[in-house]
Amino acid sequence: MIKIKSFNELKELKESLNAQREHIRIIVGMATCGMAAGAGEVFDSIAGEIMRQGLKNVTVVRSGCMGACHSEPTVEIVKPGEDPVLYGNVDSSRAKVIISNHIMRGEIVEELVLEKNYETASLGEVEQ
Amino acid sequence: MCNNSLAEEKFKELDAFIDGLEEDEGNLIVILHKAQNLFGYLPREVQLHVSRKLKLSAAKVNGVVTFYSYFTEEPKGQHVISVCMGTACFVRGASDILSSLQEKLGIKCGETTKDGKFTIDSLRCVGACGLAPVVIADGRVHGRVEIDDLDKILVELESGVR
Amino acid sequence: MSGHKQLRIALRNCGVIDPENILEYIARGGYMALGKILDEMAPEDVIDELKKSGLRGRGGGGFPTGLKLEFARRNEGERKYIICNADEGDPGAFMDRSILEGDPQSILEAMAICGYAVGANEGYVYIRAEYPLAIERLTIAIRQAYEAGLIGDDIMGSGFSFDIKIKYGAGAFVCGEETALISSVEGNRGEPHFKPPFPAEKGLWGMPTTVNNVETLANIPSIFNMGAGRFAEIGTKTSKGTKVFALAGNVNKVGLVEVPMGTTLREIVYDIGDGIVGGKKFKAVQTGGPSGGCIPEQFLDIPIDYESLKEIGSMMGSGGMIIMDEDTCMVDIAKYYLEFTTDESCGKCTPCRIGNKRLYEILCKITKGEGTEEDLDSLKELGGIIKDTSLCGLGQTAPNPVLSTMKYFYDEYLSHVRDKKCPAGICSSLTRYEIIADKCIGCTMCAKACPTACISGKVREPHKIDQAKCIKCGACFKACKFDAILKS
Repeated sequence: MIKIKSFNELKELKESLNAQREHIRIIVGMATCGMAAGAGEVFDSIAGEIMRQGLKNVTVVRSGCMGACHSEPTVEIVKPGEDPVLYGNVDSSRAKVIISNHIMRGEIVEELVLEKNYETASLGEVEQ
Repeated sequence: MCNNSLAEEKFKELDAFIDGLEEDEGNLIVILHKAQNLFGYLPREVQLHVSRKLKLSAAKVNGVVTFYSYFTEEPKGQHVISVCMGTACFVRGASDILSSLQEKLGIKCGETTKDGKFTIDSLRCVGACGLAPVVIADGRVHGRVEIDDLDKILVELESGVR
Repeated sequence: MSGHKQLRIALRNCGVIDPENILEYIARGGYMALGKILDEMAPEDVIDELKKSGLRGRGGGGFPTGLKLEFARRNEGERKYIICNADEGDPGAFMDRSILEGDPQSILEAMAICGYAVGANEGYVYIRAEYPLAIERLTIAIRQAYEAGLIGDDIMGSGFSFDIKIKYGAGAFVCGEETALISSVEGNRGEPHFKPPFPAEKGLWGMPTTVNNVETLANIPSIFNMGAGRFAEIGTKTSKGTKVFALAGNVNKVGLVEVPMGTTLREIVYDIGDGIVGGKKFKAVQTGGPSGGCIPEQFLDIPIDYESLKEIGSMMGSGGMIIMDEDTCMVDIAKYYLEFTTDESCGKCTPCRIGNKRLYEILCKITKGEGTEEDLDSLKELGGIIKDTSLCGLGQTAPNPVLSTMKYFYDEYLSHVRDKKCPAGICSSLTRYEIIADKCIGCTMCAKACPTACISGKVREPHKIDQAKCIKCGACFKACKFDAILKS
């Protein structure tokens, strides 16, 4: 990690980070609830499957709580230019189905989709 | 408490930890956390050691140890089973789980079985309310526990199979 | 606007970013607020902006955050401190844990902003030892922020320095109270002190100190990014922004929710929480943990904010929200909370140490069927005295669960003392099991299940329970497949 020495450097870093974002992100909810429900195994199985299929352009992210404790473990797929899709009650074998259907063939696994019932406040650009 | 070289090692490690800390009057709690990690509990000997090392009165150290529920002066069993008694778990039947567990092991909450194998504990809320009721067996969180699951959890603990 | 009931500001990054990678936080606009503030704003402007936003403390009391910082700024001190209160102790609440596990950098950024505003260069995060994962992620976050130069010496070349350290709690609910928390950070027993002096005058090591809760801090960077004006548009007249609730108990969709202030309980329970488990009837919602109260159905449609909850005998608290269905006994719930507070009382002041114990004993008596109507009057009177005379927030609010359930569920208390009945069938001493002879086919299942062998009868003939030996465990009730056992 390079030391950020000014506000301008921070802005530049932010821009360059966002310019690189054309990866597909697979986000696994790994807070205490998710871990207790087996998110660790789900993460391993996803990471293993990505390797096995030789998929490039996919980042698997360990994240915090998505709020859907009733359906842990949860996994969200974010494809550039598409609406994110949130899956609930995912286990290792379901994770493999999600990868082969959604990631590789672009077909959403409807029966596992959770309705995303919130919006996130837009952070609003800092007034320049 | 055992007076063998193992204990000596632990005291040495504790001293090294204390020496490595930045000067700060507020370090007592951090040190007690470390000591409990090392020894499993905080017997008189360990408390006295800490008080001499930090040049604090033994009363002060004991006062802090007994104030906080995380610190214990009694040794725990090989396996610790904690039942979460947070409100979410309580509403979903945690007290039935606890009493059934007490019955099965023949001890009360906070006690250890005679053979030193199991300790039953209750916890204040581990924040896994989505999975209520929750039982934590040797650090592993079991969610949506029913009374019928307890035998399996106990067997798993004893055999070490997870 | 979309039709969503939830709006995420404090939880904006939770479940979106990798909490162990500072670059993900930066890519989402992290540290932009701090950067802008250090670059172009005076400390007074920072405080003004927070005052304009209307942000109030999310830990329970609801004190205006901007004002709190202003007090600490005005007071002179050789050093000043910022403390993040992450000692989330309410049983049934996990908002702060989720933020620390999902977005720890936002807390560090906010602490640095507060430090700049009051003129403090040191901060502590006081966190429960029971949250190992949160501690691990916070530790990583602090290390990465130091490496990136976003905390530490001369942040982003501004000349402002701010250090952050972690202090561990050790399981004492009272340490959520700010003066008790400060004495725990100092390494002592976590006993509260009389206020004044307030921490803003004499706090940690006797220096001006500001204590803010995790969720309060998580809002701060967003306020500067979105503008205080836009933040203040969200919510009600007196309570701005959003509130995170940990929705739990007998509700279908248990989870972490963030809604604008002014949302109704009905929207949270039925639209977001998808109603009561098993289609049962709603009975009450408990907010504010051991300091709060139980809210009955008649108030499901009031818009919730700090004031409205207080008016109906509960409080916002830190955000635990436990839904209770018709099978919950309200006397039992009050007893549960009192058991908690008597256990957690630090023992320093008499009303809390002894008074709450007496309340608990009376409740035990009632649930055993030994209570009288005079006992109910004693509960009320004693509860009022404890509220008025206790030293700190813990004692002052401890009788709330009793008083609020008595206010709204008095009938249930009366059934316990007058008819010696528990309407919800929870208090086992007041429960009676009987076999309905007409329905019993003599299958012997109940007799086999009975742990005290108090059920007798021949095969294919109706059985009978010996009431003197019955321990009311309910095993026969569960074992019977023919609905032949009556629970009353």
